[in-house]
Amino acid sequence: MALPPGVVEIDELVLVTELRAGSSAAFERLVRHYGPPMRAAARRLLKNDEDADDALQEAFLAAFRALATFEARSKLATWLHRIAVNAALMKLRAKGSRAQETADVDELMPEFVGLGVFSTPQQRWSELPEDPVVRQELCGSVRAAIDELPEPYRVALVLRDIEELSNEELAEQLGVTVNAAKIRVHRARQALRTLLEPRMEGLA
Amino acid sequence: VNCARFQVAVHEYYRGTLSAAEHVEVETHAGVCPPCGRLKATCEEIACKEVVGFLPEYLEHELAPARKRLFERHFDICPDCSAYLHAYRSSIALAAEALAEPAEAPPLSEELVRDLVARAKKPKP
Repeated sequence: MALPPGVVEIDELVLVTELRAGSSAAFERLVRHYGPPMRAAARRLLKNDEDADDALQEAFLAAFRALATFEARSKLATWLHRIAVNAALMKLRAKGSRAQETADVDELMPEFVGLGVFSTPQQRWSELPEDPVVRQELCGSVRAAIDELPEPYRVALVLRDIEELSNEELAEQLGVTVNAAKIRVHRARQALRTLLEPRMEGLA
Repeated sequence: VNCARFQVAVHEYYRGTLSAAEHVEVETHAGVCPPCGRLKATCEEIACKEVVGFLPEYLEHELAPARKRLFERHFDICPDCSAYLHAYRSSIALAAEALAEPAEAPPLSEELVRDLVARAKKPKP
C-alpha cells in the first residue's frame, strides 16, 4: 500500500509494541500512516465522505481492541485494510441497505430467444484505449456505471472483483449461500457490461 | 446459400430472423456440405444462454475438462458468445482499474486525525 506524501516507512513491530503499551503518539502515527488507504477502501463501498469517516473511526477502534490478536507475521496494512472493509460493511448494514435488495437488474441482462441464442447480434468491443487521457475518462464512466448498480450488486462486485474476496468469503460477508453470492456477482458484472456497452461501442 | 453466407446465416437461423426461403436453404446446405453440417451440429451442442450462465465457472477454471472443451468449441464458432465473453472480461478489468486505490491516497484531514486520536484515548465502553 502506498504511503501518503511526507510519510516515511515505519517499523510495524515497533509500532505494534508501542500501541500495545498504550502510546497515543504511536496511535497517531498509525492513523496518519494507514488511515488514508483504509479510508479510500471504506469510501469505495460507502460512496460518501461522512460515512467513510465514521467507518474509519469504527475501524480504528476495532483495530485497537483487537491489537492483542494481531499476529506479527501478517502485514499490518493488510490486517487494517480488512478491518476497514468490515467496518464499511457494518455501516452499510446499519444503514438498512437490505431494503434495496429487491432492486433488480433484470433489464440489464442479455436476452435469449428460441433454443437459447442471443436475441440480437453481440458487437465485439474495441480494445481498451492506451491514450492515458482517454483511459482516465473511460475509468470515470466506469465508476459512474458502477454507482448506477443497485447497492447489493455494487457491493458484491466491489468485494469480489476489487477487494478480491473468494466466493466463500463473499458469501459469509453477504450472509447468503456461496451459490447465491456467485450469482449476484455474475449478474452485477453482466449489468455493468450492459451499462458500459454504449461507451465501448463509441470507442470502436 | 454458399459456405461463406452459411457461416453468418446459421446464427440468424437459430435466432429465427431468416426468411422462410433462406431458412430452408440453410437446412439444405447443411445436409449436402459436410463442413457446414458440422458447424450446424456444433451450434446445437450447447445454447448461448447456458454458456453465458456459466461464464464465471469457465473463467475460474471450475468446469470439467470435457465441458470446458465444449465451451471452447462454442466460442470458436459463435461470434455472439465470443464477443460477450470479451466484453464481460473487459468489464471486470475496467472495474478493477477504475476503482483501484490511487497510488497516493490523499492524507486524512487534521480534524479527522484529531477526532480519531481523541476517541482512542477515551475509556473503552
